[in-house]
Amino acid sequence: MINEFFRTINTALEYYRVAGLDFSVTLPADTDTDSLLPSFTPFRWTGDANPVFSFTTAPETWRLSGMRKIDESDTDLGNMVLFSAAELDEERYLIELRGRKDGPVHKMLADSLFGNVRADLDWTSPDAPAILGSMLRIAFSQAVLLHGGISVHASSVALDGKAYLFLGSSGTGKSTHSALWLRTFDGCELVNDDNPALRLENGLVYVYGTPWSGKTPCYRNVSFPLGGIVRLEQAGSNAFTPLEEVNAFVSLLPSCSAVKGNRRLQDCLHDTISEICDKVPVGLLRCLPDAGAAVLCKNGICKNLIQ
Amino acid sequence: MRLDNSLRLRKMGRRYMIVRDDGDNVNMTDVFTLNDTAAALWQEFSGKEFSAEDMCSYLVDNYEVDAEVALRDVNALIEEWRRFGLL
Repeated sequence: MINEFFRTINTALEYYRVAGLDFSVTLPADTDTDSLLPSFTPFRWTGDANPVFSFTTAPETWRLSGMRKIDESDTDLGNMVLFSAAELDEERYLIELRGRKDGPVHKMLADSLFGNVRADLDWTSPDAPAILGSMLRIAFSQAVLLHGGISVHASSVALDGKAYLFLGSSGTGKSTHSALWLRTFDGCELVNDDNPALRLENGLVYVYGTPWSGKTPCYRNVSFPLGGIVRLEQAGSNAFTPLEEVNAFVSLLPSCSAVKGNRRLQDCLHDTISEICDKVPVGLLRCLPDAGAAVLCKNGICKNLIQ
Repeated sequence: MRLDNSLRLRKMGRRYMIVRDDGDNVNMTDVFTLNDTAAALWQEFSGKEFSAEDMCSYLVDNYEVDAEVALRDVNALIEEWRRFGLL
């Protein structure tokens, strides 16, 4: 009986460090974290932790009022709806995630800066592990904004000790372009194929691998100084254009996210993007999916070094 | 009139910009660029009530410009800021 009792109140607590920032994840007891979140295993952190957010899973009844829908999006992982709400007098965000249209709704409740996140998942559903990973991705993407970090929708490769980011709307060919670099340049390696993180540290910009990499299983706990950022656009021929100042800012902004209407998070995001654009080369590559595009891109972004 | 005090002027390299997260439109963020003079006016008149005449005398005091030209420019600027909802 006593053992049973402890089993129910006991929980599994893990710490992870992604982009140099720690977070804690509390899961129901007797969960095998590594089989539930396999892509997170390389990021487990056993040293002293200073979490930027804590994520707890527990079925709960939340007393929310004043719910207002802010955002809705469909991704390859399913549907996401974001609401603002109040819990007692505190501002909250409620995020509802569905793996598929007829699937169950999984819910997550965060404070206004995503420092404290609670999730209520339907564990009987087979999509629960994937949803858990998405929830952590969303929480991470917002919580790191206060710490000079950005979670970027991009594919990233490293060459000669520096990492490069390829941006573009879905279907543009970010992964394809990374694959072209891997094939074309000796010693080139994939850092992350969908969701690397950027972080400003002591005035320098670093790229980090993360547990989120879209359809490519590339969950590398690595970091490199950022060598450059290139926005890709499909075109009938290859052309590279360096982007500066406001144009650089505007090209990076749509690949990052901060909750709409949250001025604090928005300001942090804009500050970080401004500083990054000030420090690293940014360019636009209109391209075909061919080796020539990779060569032109590398020459353009590596030549375009800020003095 | 007053400037929208939720907006912040940022310096991006040698240029100035204002980034506005449009809360009503999910996928829209407006980025406005300002030249040096417009940025100076924005900074000067942030957080206070002002008139076109106030802006005009600021320009006359700080730049080599006639009151007449300054007033014409200020009116055009105010009209533009109003159109984009920056006031």
